[in-house]
Amino acid sequence: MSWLGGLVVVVGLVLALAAVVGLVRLEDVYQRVQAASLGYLGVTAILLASVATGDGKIIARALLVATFLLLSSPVAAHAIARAAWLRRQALRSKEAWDETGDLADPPR
Amino acid sequence: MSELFLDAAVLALGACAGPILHIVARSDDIATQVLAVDLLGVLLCGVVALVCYLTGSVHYLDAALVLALLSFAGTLAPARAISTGRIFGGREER
Repeated sequence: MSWLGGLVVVVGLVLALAAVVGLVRLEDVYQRVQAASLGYLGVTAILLASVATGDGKIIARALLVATFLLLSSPVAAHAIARAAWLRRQALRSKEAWDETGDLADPPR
Repeated sequence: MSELFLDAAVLALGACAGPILHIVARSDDIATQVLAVDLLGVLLCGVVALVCYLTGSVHYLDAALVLALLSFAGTLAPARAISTGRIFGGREER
């Protein structure tokens, strides 16, 4: 059971690393919210690895934290992206466009 | 999970704070900074969970839960503040 927990922790670390790389490499906040959601998934995977400890109390609380993170991640991402749109922050990615028409097209 | 492996995991997750703090310090739009601080709080929650597995004490997960709640509130409040200018009851459209 122990190697399975280690595997899940490694998966969580890879997801967290992908989130940080995405936060640094992507161009504007509308793309970066998607990378940050990977960080939530990674931490959720680390919390799920609590099953390998075999302690009922730890597993129960870790599942509680994981459930809260899974519920709060889309709400937070939506709030940040909506705040950026209300501020009319410009799109920077060449492939992006705004279907509402309120944001100008990025420079091609 | 061996102790050495968990130590390395804590170090790896803690090292992720460096690029995030760089984004917070150097980014030119405030929404990205709010996003980076949010991600920092969530990753810190993961570090606390790993320390919980290291020590075997269940109380660290209480701290992780409080940290997740505070991080959530600390994301929604700035997101509303930068878009409407107020946290409670601001006008929706600018």
